[in-house]
Amino acid sequence: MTASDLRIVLPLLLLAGGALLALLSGGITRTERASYLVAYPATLGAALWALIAPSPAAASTVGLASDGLARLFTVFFCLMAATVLALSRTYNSERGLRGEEYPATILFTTFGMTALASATTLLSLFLGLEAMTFGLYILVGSDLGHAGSVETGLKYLLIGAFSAACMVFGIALIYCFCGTLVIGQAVQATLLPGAGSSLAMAGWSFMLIGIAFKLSLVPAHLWTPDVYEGAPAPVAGFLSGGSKGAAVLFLLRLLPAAGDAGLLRLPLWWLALLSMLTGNLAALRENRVRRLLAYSSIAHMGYVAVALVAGAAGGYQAAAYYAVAYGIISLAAFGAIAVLERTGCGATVESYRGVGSTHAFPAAVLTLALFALVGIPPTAGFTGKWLIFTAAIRAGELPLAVMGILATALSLYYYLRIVASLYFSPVAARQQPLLAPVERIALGCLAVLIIVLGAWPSPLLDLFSRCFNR
Amino acid sequence: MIVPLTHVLILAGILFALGVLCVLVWRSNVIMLLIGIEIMLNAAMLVFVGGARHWGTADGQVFALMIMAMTSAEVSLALALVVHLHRKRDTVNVDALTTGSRPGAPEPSAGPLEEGPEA
Amino acid sequence: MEAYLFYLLAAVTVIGTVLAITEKHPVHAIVYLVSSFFSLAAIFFLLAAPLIAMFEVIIYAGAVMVLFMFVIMMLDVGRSGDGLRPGLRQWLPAMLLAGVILALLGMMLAHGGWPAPGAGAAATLRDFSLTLFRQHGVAIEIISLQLLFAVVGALYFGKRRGP
Repeated sequence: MTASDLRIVLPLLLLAGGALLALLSGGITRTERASYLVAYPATLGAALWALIAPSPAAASTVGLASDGLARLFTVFFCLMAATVLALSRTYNSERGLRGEEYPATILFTTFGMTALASATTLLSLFLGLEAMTFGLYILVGSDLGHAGSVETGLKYLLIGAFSAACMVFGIALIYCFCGTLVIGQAVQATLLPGAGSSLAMAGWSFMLIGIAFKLSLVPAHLWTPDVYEGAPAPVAGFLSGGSKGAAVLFLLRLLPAAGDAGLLRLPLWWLALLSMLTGNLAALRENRVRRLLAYSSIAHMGYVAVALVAGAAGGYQAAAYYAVAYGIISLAAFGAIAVLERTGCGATVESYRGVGSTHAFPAAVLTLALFALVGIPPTAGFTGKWLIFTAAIRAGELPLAVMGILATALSLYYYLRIVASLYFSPVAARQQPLLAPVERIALGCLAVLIIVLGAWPSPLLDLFSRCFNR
Repeated sequence: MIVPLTHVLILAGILFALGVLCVLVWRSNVIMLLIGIEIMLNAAMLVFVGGARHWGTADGQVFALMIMAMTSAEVSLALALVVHLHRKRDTVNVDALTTGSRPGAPEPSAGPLEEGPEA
Repeated sequence: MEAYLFYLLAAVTVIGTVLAITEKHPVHAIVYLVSSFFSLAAIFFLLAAPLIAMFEVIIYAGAVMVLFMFVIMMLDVGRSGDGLRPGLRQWLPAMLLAGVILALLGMMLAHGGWPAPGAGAAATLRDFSLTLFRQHGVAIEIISLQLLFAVVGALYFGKRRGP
């Protein structure tokens, strides 16, 4: 390992060291305050390093590289982890969720995401994805006092292990065909039309089954509502924003190496269509807010799959942008829900009645996030959808784009139903929550980001297009 | 190579299909479900080892080793969750566990949970 | 000679696995599975991966399966599990699906498109170590942290909390 290798792995080392230190300090001081104090600088330091560090000249020998995509997503994942930590503190202490394990596991999950972001071999890519999912199994089940949480964690683990087994069998078949684990070579040898044999095709199809579970695309989506409902609210936001983003990044690491989705175009086409339709239709009939957001996340991953089908015609940039935008939006939504649930809001849409006048700030953030999920203009959700559908039309996927726009129009109804219940209903008596300053800051930052990213997307888009048009 | 790669892959395919079969059939029993996943992962390891032998590189063997470590971590966490749930409620049946995941719904079977060993 | 050994071991593996997944008592299933994994380890040895064969015996057949056995015995699952035995209604669709997967795999294998003939020499233990530490150094870090967090998670869920 040389100095340039060290420079590449430094964000990983910061996160791993932060996780260990958080565990140790929690054990020594017997409070989780110290662990949180360790966790913030670890995530922010890793993000800062990825942002300002000079690009190393030499190619790395440890199975990691730090290209533009890796650094952008490292910053995104680390800042997201810091936001989740900020939103979790008060939520957890009010739910009786104690222990230094929680912040440490958040750092470990971020470690997995960061490893995935900078992977150059199939091995580190897969292990990064698995490390991330593994941390989320613990986080989803961590709310021991809440009836559903642990069971949901176990369910999520079983589904995750099954999908990992499918994915690893796919990788094995691909390795068997091309004899290398380096992503670029392996993808070019197997995914290009004409290059792949039936063996490679079998490998890619198993891989796609695995990733469809992680992205919760339609035939593999059934776990999503249960997990979103059982997990603690900030973890649900992390799961919805971070892990989906990482799974999109997993595909973005693989597909552009072949230039096009190649053999995967047709299966991705169907997955995209089914996810958009099923997600939105199921959300129409759902009356519980968290499950509704889960179904909407299925639909949104369908939009991302549309972008991946569009591929080199601007689809990869659109998918990367949408992954970031959706991560921020869903974290804002779940952050607001985390605050509102403390005030006595239950599971159903009706229980949010009148919150808009009693708790103006979190309700406003939730409304903004919902508008962004619909795709109302100045928000990031609109820009992302615009990019995706124009890319799809440019790639000649007109039917898919039309279906996506229709599905979006359909989604207007159920998002606005929540907003209507927030503002246009009689006020029920509820307790006043203490909104911690750090929560206020986190929610405010997310809201500002939603607007800023939507109104001035060009700097981020320039960075992404530089990553994909090398 | 002692046998053609095809034969190794056929064996791996049979094992993988048996693993999937086990997962689908025993989907209500956590222990058997985990066993099915183990079988699937073993099939993947066999493919990796066969591929490594075919190409004369060690990458596949490294991957197989990593799968082994990963799956032992997953199994230990899964069994810890099973033991935790078993202490609260007397079952390893996934279908029986689902009742708790809907806080809004009435739960006749969740009786033991409220008086569980939380204290 | 080695080829016959391979086919023999393959047969033992498949039969052991079939018996394991049709067995209604989890303890018996584990025992069948251990025997299946033993013969799989021997296959790994024949395929010039002695280290993986050793780890298969030590980690899989040894540690993981003993962990399963321990939990089954501790929770006493087998006795009350009779009612959970899947009937024909579960077996038929599952077998259909698994059969489809197997048929597709077989079709793809029969279809050809084979990888180019590879190197004749097998990777040695030295190659293995060099590959592991030179090319996949970060994988060791990821997996070791994951194992640590498996312990953290198990402790978190296993801890008895005081009032």
